[in-house]
Amino acid sequence: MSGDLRNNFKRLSEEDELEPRDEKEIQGTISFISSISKVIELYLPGFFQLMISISGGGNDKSPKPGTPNNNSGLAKRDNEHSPSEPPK
Amino acid sequence: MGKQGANKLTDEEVIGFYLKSRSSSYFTMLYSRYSGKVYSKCISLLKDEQLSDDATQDIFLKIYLNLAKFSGKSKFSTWVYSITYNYCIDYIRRKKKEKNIFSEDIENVGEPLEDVHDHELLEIEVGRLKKVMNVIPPGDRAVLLMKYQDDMSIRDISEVLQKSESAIKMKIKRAKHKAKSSYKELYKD
Repeated sequence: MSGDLRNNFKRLSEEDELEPRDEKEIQGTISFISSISKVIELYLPGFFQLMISISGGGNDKSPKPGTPNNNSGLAKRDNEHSPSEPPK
Repeated sequence: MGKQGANKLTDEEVIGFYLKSRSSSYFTMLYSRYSGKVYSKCISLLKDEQLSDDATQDIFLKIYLNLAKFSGKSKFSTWVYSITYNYCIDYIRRKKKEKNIFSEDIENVGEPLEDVHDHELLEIEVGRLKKVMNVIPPGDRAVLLMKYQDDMSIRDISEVLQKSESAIKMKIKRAKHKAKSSYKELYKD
């Protein structure tokens, strides 16, 4: 073991560190990261929602925006029986 | 902002500006500051240049996606390194199918261990230290890097590895012991 007072673990890190990349290369990496993250942020929630709907786990009872509320009186009159209810 | 002025900003200030403006130039600054260090940790743990390159990119993608969640409770560097260690340890467990990543998982832990003083490890010549680090289990390597390279506190390490502080103290003690015994084995002269 040498008598060097310096913490050689830190030297080890300096040895393995990447050579500073040129600006073009860094920009390339950053734009790659930002486009991948945009794809993840935009499409992943929709993809999961789609998978949930396909597997039948979606909340069908929640009213869709712009559609009449099924619990309203009008909706009840228009559609007295639910499709699963046997006709009287 | 000029390059000179930008370089003087702290990490936390850069993050603040990034979150306000969403300008990629601020993220580029963080990338330039830490990509080399993240790569160095990946290569220490994964032992493969191509894999470490890919891991560095994946880790920065995680950082990019989670930057808004950085609370500032710890230093940004600690946060970045904890993502890095978790990524690498998880990769080793999953892809390399190594469940036992600490020496205490592999060896008999019954016998009491002698204390290894910090200076005994810190003063090992760099080339030899590199070889020692290559032969010890990846979990031991990770805790030694966290403690001696990144100056992380026991509390920070315990948060990264999700273990109690006393468990971490024991892991560090065993890792030091493993490093010293590996050194002795490699360099008997």
